[in-house]
Amino acid sequence: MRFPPLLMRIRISNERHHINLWLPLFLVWLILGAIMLALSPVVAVLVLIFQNFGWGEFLLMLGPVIYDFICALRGLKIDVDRKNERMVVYFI
Amino acid sequence: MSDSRRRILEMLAEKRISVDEAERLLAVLQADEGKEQRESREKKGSPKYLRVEVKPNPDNLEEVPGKVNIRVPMSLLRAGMKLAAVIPPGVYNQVDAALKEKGIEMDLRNIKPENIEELILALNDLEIDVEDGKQTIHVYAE
Repeated sequence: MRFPPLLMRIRISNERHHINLWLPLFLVWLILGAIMLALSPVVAVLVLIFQNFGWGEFLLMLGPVIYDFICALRGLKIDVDRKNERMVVYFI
Repeated sequence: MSDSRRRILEMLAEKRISVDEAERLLAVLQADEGKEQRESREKKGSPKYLRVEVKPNPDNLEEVPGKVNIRVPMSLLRAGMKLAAVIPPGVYNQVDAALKEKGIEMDLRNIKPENIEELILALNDLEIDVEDGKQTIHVYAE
């Protein structure tokens, strides 16, 4: 079973500021999951309506593919260091 | 050039084998080499990350934008390729036309999961080093 990243770390530091944020992404996923669950009947109806136009499969596959993409973000790290400035984005 | 390949060419030069025979032997050899390469990649296993590193040249620290270190999970690559599966029906032709315009002859609908796995496995051998005096760019899989 694959899980989406639970935390996102954003670190920005320069001569004036030093920001180190740990964003609890799991809270976002919980809210998004609840919204998706609430919207699922609407999506089901839309899939049935758009089936005839060839868009049904697209709508049906959109959710799982986006979930897969979000899960794949785990481990992504971007680190940019320039003279006295540094920015790090890390999905954990 | 491998020893076997050299031996075949020598045999051809000495006229011990015909051109057709040499061609057949080289084709068999090429197939064997391809199989060996595939097996060696499979032994190594699938790489987990694609790394992109940009490092300034120590003599040119003033001019260069900075140091960049990016680690992209291979699963993101897989997921990105899967996104092609959800391109709306009418958009495929536009994407294909745009790719052709850039000189890329590729049909996104023909990309299958096994192709993606093969591509990722082949990335094991990828190593790009670009050095231009100001900075060094290193792209590799790990």
